[in-house]
Amino acid sequence: MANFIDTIKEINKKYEKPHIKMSKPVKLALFCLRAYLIILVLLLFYKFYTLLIIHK
Amino acid sequence: MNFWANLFYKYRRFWKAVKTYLLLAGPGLIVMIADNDAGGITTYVVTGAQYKYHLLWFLILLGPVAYFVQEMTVRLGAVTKRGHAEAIFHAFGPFWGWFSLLDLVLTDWCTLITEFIGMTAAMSIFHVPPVVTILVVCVIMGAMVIQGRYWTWEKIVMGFCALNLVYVPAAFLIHPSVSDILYNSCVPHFPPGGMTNDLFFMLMANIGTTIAPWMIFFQQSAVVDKNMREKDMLWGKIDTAIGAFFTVVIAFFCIIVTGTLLHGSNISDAAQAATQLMGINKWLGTFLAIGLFDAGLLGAVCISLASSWAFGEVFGWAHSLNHKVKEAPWFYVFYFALLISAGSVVLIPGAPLILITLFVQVIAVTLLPTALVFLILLLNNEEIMGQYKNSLFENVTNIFIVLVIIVLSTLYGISTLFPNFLK
Repeated sequence: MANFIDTIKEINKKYEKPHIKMSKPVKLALFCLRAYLIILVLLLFYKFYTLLIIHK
Repeated sequence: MNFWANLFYKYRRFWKAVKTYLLLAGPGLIVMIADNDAGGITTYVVTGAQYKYHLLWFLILLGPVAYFVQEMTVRLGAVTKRGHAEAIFHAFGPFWGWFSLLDLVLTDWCTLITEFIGMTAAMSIFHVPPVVTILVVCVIMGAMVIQGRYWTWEKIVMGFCALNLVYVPAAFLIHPSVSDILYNSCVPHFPPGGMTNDLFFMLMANIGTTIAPWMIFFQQSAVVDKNMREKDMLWGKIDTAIGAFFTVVIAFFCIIVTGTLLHGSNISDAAQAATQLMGINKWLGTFLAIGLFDAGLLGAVCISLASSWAFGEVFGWAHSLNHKVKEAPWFYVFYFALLISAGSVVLIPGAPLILITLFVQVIAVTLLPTALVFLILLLNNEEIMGQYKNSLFENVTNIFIVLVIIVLSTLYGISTLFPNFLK
């Protein structure tokens, strides 16, 4: 387990610095992606919540 | 004499080109035909049963859509020599890298379960118990990869791809109306009843089955494992185009079979369709069942490799099919763990298989937009792609396609979560 965690840390360190130039279109695209995923995750949680309520 | 010499020269050049293509063919053809996996065949079967030939024109349009998306992975893989997962880590950092990798594995594992569901359902028509089907599939898939040569694996899989064409003779057996098929293929129109919620859902299902996130990861990694270079890119594109053609052909003939014989029937999956067709014509039912099994097998082969390659790239394991088990132990351990765990779920009594099938449609919506957006961003980066970056035409086409796919697949995912959403 300790080896595994060390490997994860090594990977994170290896790719720490993004190599793509963070131009305005790239930043906008990444921002839109984050917003999209947050909304999707919230919808998933909402669905899970409604299923729990129905089950009760 | 000059004429004959020229003709002979052109003939030699043609055959040289064919041989070069055959050497480089593989990733594009395999990923496109495997795209018609168990879930895909089910979608086409239901499309034919519900709408007869009325959506054939729409299906033909999806061929170029699939080509434009997958062609980008050929360029990215050949230029960067990295799989898609590693490319995301390298370009965008660990947050997006881990998100993509873990989402890929989860989506792929669930999709693998649906492939096993399809294969066991197909073989149960021949009274083969599910446990036997799963064991045999695991042995076949294991044997294909451990022999230690990518080239051999590729040619075996291409043999399975050829088997997927079984729907073509099936369609010829039933003598469908050619004029109807031609009209419905060439003239865009809505089926009788116009645009309804059910039709919209079916259109989205067809789009969702045409572009799956694992396809992007698979083809890029396969291009790298095959050691394709920039000079091979043209052949990679031709390979992808031919694959897109065949994926449409298979879907086309599958819809013709069910549209001719099962139109109006309440069919919800391909195994049910195969059972019904057995009652009409034993050969037809057999062809459909074989096609369903083959589709599930192809999907399982590609999906499990897509995940194993991705993990191997990121964790730095030896991760090529050209390595034997001793040379790349973790790659093969991961591959078999994924395969056996997914197969085992299908054997659990009372396992929520329908829920898993629905869950796949939803979870794919989280991965597909990110994979597509990263693809576009990477292909536009001059530092990474150099002279092979997207041209203006490619950007306009690909960005339009990607936006449409994202919107429609999101609506599909949400309507799966909330069935009354579109009503």
